[in-house]
Amino acid sequence: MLSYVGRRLLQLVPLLLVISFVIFVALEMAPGDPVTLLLGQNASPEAVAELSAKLGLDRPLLLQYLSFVTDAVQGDLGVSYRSGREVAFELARTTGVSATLALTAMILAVLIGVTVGIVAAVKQYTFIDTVTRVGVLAMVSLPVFWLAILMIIGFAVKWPIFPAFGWGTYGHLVLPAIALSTYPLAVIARLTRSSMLEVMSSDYVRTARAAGLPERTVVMKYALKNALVPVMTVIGLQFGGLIGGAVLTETVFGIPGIGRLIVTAIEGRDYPVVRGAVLLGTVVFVLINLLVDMLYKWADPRQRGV
Amino acid sequence: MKHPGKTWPRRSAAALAMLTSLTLAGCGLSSGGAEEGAPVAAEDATLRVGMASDAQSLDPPNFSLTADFIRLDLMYERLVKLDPDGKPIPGLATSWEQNSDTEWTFTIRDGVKFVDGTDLNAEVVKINLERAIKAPQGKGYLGVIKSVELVGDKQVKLILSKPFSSLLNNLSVPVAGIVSAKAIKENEKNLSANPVGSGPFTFKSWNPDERMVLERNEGYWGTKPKLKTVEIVPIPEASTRLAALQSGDVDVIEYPPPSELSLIKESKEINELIEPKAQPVFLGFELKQVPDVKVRRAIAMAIDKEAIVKDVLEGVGSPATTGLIPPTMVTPADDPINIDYDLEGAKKLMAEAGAGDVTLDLVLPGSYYLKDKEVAEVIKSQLKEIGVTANLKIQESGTWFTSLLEHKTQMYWLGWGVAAGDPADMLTRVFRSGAVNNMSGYSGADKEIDKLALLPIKTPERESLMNDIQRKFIEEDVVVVPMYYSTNFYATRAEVEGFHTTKSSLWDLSGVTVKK
Amino acid sequence: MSAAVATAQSAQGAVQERSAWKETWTMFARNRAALIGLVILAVIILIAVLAPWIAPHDPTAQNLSLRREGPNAGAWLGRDEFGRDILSRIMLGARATLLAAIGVIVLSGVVGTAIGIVAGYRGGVADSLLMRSVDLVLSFPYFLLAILIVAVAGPSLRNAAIAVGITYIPQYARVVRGATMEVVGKEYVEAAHASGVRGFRIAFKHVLPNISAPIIVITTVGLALAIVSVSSLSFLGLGAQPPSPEWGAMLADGRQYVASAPHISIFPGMAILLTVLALNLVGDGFRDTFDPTLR
Repeated sequence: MLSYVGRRLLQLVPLLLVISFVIFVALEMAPGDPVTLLLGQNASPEAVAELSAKLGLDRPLLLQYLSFVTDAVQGDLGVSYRSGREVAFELARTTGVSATLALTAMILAVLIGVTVGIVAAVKQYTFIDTVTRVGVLAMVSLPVFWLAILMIIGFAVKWPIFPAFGWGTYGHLVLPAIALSTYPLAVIARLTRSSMLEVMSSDYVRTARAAGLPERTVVMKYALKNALVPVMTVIGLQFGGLIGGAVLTETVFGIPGIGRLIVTAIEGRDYPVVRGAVLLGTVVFVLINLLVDMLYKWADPRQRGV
Repeated sequence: MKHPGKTWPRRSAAALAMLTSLTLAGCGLSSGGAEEGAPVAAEDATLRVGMASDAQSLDPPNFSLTADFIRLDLMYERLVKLDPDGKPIPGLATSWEQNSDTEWTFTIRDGVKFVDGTDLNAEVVKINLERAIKAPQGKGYLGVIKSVELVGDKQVKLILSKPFSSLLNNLSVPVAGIVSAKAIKENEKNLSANPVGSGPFTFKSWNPDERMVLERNEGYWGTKPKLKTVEIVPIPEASTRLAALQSGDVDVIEYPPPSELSLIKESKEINELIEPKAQPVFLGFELKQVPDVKVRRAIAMAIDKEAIVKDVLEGVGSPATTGLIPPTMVTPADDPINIDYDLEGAKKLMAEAGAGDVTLDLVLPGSYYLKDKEVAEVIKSQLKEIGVTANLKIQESGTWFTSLLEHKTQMYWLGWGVAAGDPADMLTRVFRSGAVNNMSGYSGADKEIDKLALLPIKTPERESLMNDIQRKFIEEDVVVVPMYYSTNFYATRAEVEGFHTTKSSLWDLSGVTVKK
Repeated sequence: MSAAVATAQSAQGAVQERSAWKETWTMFARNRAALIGLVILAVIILIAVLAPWIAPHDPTAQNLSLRREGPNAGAWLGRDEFGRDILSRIMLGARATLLAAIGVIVLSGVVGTAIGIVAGYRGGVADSLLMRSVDLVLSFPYFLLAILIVAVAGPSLRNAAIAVGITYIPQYARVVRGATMEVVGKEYVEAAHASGVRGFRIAFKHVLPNISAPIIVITTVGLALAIVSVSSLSFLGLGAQPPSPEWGAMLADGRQYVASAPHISIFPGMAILLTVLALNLVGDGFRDTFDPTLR
């Protein structure tokens, strides 16, 4: 197990090198230039040249990349062009927020999604099955920004239960977490349903039933644990997506998360922030999936030997 | 990793606490923190303002953008202020004297203390100006200053590299804010996140993208504001911003969606605030790409500015029918500088030009100026009437500005904020040949524009010269089509009284009270 | 094995295939929700195809004095911020929206399937090389990747579709690779191989038809996702450009009027909801039909 984890972590190194290089080339190709943007009305050619030199942007791309890698290896991700704050600080302040939001949303999604999935599977082809399935599908069918705006108008203006925007208290967490949870919730509910159906028609569940165990025990004790194995993989994938994919939710609710940081940084061509955030996103994504794979091995005995 | 921001470990800890006690989330639904509790006296109230974007940098001459000027203005003072008519009045300088075309002497105010306890004196001013003329943004406004000399303890002499009559205007821009010399010396890097000034408010905290808190400067030399605290929160989404105002989460917002004005007007809880601003918005032509002046004139004649302002901007702004410079800044010419809307005439002119069907790109930013995308769509449909197909190229604000600077446009959409309050600055930067921001590549009024720097500001002679220049590039050469004069646009809750803005888009908080 | 036997076998395969499809259809038709989804989808496609002829008004004709007018006899679904007829825009917008979603699927489907088949069929170095590059795309938060691509290429509906398409490649590649590996071991593929049929012909004539079930399932669900993703890019101003109607852009632009003129965004929102819902129902139907363990 330990060597497996080591190997996976080692694989991160070339991955990060390739991704950071791709980002370098992509940003270089993107129209718009950070220096012109920083100077705005005052972008005279001399000022542009001077600031480019100061930021090291006048050097050949490969050289810029090499010095970035050298610095990054030593833990220095550089300084934001725009705010002058360290990239590490920008990442630290936003990651905690995004992680809290994503985790809350994921907990909601898992609790509700798995429940809905089980109920739908147990009551397959009944009215309950149809209603929950259509309801879940309707949730994925709404663009999240639209749902978010409707929720704000409903639960912050019309019935002022929650704050309309911002961050800081539990109340601030509710609406965005619900908005963000809809997609993973639907995915988890569907997968739980089909996975449950598969498991419940398997031999050992039939055996358990034949042995006269009550249906509740069969479902909860025998079927569920096995049915949740594939669900866990999806949770991992979805969680990674949640952290970066919360851009829209963060924008609508005015939440200082990493998604908004990246979008603002891309718009402002704040290269150091974009690079740092994408690298962090990749690391988190890989780590979460590693964690999930380990859980997977633990939960599925057949996988243990592998 | 040491950083001035210093609040983040605490906040991550808070995030962690939030996670561990998530089960309690259901009962922890308070709608906010400090503002609840016993009613506060109007004078010690907090004003919460929702803005479209967060501040970028709080170090005046470095990377501060126009959007940062409002925050800078509350915390930093300049040598010169502008009165509501745009006339320079004493700020941190009590008086000044122009010794020659290129020499000015300023007398520095006595008894001003920075919030770190240090005193303002001529030496501090010298350090600041010398720093500003070398800084990226500072150079743009103050680069004309060649050197700064001390004249005793209370006076500085500025020596310019060439005559520049609007020096006072440029010294009034927040970029020229005077920073504590001690803070510059001890921790210059820190200034972008931790300002140390002498203004009516002092910096308390800033969690980027979340909240900036300013407090009344109790040691302020002038009239102290009635407000105790100002909280500025960024809410990028306009509909959320309005919702936050309606629900009382904030007291003031900038740029409510104009279409909701009718709702605001109906509501007793919310008031609108539309006040003049020194920023014309215009449609420009890249002259090399659209060389036929008849086509340009026909386009100008085919655009119905009045309809655009009334039906698209919902009256937030006024049609630019007296030249590019807003009438609030320069006395308009007796014969209005304008190409009148005349659809039939435009069609005739197009036929005369013999250009046949014309297709032109119109490069514009998406949601940068008020409803820019929508205005462009209406222009497109108006131009269709005269056989001109406008290809809308909506770009990210960054890409758009670079396209303009690189002249990769045929028609472009641009607003020019006259932050220093002197329209001559705009004429020089946008219509003088060789100027970086001369997006049209115009060169027909260089001599007149150069003369502006020699004439004293606010004189009839200078104003009529500005009108001549405008007439030339608007009516004769049709370089740009002035569209509308933008306005400061806010909505406030009824409890807020006395909130006003200046033409330079700054806030006047001196008389603001919030009844709770 | 002689060539004659191989021909006979493939003819027999065709017969089996036909009856297999019939059986599949019977199975699918038993799922009422899926059937409803299919009908809704057919209607929407019909509207999209016929839009220029059946739309009551010119979808780009502005009438500013009637702007934001609510639903009425002249404009059944009301008018937008330019006084344009919303019903006509939704009808015409169905084309742009569906085409963009189809573009996403064609791009990710073709590239992803090709990668999956080659990786699954060849195995070895080709497999690990291809799947590594796929993992590379996957290890990137997908929406950010799309934003980055559009930032580089410039905002337009086409670029938005390409960006979303690229982020969907891994899914196809993985599913197809798995299915291919399963199929490759089967007799008929080995038989074709033995009779000297070349690699890619095998892949396309023998492997592809036999892995169509998982492809159909992820395609229907993928179409649904694509519509939502492209509309999300429109929200950030990175999708369809005016004045051409597209649902996501209509919804995104209409959100600023949601308090005073909700119909401007509600109807395009409902169009998206209905289409995506229908696609998902059909996709679920296929999944249930093709996966015998779920019956």
